[in-house]
Amino acid sequence: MRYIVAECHPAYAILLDENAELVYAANLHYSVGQTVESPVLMETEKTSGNRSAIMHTVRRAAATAAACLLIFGAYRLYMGSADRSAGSTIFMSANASVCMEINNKGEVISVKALNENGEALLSGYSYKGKDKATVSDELVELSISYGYISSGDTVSFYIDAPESGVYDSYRTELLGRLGSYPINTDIQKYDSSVQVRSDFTVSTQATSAQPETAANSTQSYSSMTETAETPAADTEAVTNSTVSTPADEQQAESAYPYHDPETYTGQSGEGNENWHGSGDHGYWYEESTDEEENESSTSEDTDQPYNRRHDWSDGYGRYGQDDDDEDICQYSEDDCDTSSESSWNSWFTGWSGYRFYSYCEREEVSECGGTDICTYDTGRDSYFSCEHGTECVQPDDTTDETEETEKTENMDETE
Amino acid sequence: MPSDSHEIVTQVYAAKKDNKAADSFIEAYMPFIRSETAKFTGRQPSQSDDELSIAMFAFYEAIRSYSRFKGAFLKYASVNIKRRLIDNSRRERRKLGVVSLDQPAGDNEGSSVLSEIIEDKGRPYDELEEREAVHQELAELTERLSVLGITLSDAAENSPHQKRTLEACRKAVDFARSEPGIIEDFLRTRRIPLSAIAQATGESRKTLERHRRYLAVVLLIFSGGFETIQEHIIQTLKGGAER
Repeated sequence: MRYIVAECHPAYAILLDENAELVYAANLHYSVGQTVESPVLMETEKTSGNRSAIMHTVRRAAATAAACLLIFGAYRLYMGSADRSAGSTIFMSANASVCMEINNKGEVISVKALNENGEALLSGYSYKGKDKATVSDELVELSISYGYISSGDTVSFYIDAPESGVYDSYRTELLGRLGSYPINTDIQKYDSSVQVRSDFTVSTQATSAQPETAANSTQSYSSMTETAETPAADTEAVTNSTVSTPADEQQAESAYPYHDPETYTGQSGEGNENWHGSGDHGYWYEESTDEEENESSTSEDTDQPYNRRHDWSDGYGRYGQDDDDEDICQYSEDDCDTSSESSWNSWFTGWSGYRFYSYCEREEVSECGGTDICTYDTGRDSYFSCEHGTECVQPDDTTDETEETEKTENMDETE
Repeated sequence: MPSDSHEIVTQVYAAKKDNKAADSFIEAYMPFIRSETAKFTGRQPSQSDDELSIAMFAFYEAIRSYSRFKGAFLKYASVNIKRRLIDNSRRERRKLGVVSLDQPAGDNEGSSVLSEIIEDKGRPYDELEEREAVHQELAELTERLSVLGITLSDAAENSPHQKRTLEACRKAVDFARSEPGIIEDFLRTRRIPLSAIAQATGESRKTLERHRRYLAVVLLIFSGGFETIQEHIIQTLKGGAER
């Protein structure tokens, strides 16, 4: 490509290329009228396009990957804690008494002995990966084989469930599973008035979210006696204070809403075909209905109408945040014509750490001699601010009197 | 200190809009530019060094792309200068395999340089003549543009960069060239008949309007009297952009 040097300045030259395009280039001691072949061109959209597109893509991919990792981690953490948190407790009361903690999925997360026979029963027994019905079934079978219960005996089960629906479901399941044994199965809802045949005191450790071995758990029951007493009222208190209930989860959700990217179609724009991002971070492009406007304001990098970009950061509540500086601006928001990049002094995009943003700005001399900076931030969807430059002093503006005084002093010092 | 930094930001923003302000701002910060160049090259640059020219250009680029959201201007400019100088040194390194015409043809000290031995098929006087012709045409073009209140810098600023937009402008120019009345109207009224062009070419009037100053320059080139410049760009206009 050959270029004619059309205009020379100390730092740059304006060249006319064979495409009839006027471009800026470094002035490598050129003179007007000279023809050059390999100038150092300015990195405008033309030359920096590829680089910025690559960087843009890389940043976007990195941000998406980071967001995915974050969400995946959070999901694993959530699911992990859900797996380990005790949702219900089943007490099996017989000559050998045990207590099973059940998670929300119905899996047994710990089994503890409540008396010496219970310890013997659980010796060498593994409950891991088994559900409540299987463990109950196997423990009854073991009790029979150990001679703790025999044909015609009654085995009582007390179910401490957060909801009556859960209790009913567990009861039905246990009755169905244990119906084949020649024993009487008595299943009741646990409350403080219920007495079981063995004394037990459920400690905080017993109801903690961490799975424990039977050996560890026996230390919590060192004061067990053979006499049946009411399960202490503090058992209930401890259980309530440590086991997360659906009500707690609901409260946590309202404090930090989480939307499943697969299903959420709310304000974040997920579900929209133009959605970029995942989880509660991302952005989408809204297709303009104005074909001409859409065509004229398409980003070269993404082929998307960037003046219609909406960013969304759910967890931070930053969406649509507004600014109150408009009253000191001599321009209205309409002056910020975002459909044309060329009407702005600068236009750029980036990643602020929690959301993508892009903004452009325009500077004009204000009535009082200072400067107004009009900023349009597409990342906040029509976020608009207009502020005075530092040299502007408005005598009748009493709201920021201290600030103005400081500014005036600074100006005096500068002068 | 804060007032100094505010002052420089104000100067940068003024230089963004006014080429003369940009030139004088660059002139005022020449010691800084020299210093940044010296840091890279490890020696004091002379006025004829390409590195210094590149650094000045990088400083100008920094002015154009700077925003107060990007932090302190001088740090920003410094990074830009360093990056540009690195790019330039890589570019120069790629040229290392090229033999200089000024190097001796043989091993002996008294042997002639290559440029004396190789037959010069070029016509230096023709080139000089052509350069002079282009110079005169550009001076004429600049003068006629000033009547319209346009400078070449304005036109460069307004020049289309996207392929699609460039294509739209090319169609507009082709149409104007095929319809002499269009250029005559433009010269008489000093207004580009964008509606007629948009209607005839099917291009968006808004797109053409956005590049009005650029179109004015190209139409003026084709209005006559700028044959050398026309010749430079005519091939591409005939055959489409080679991009």
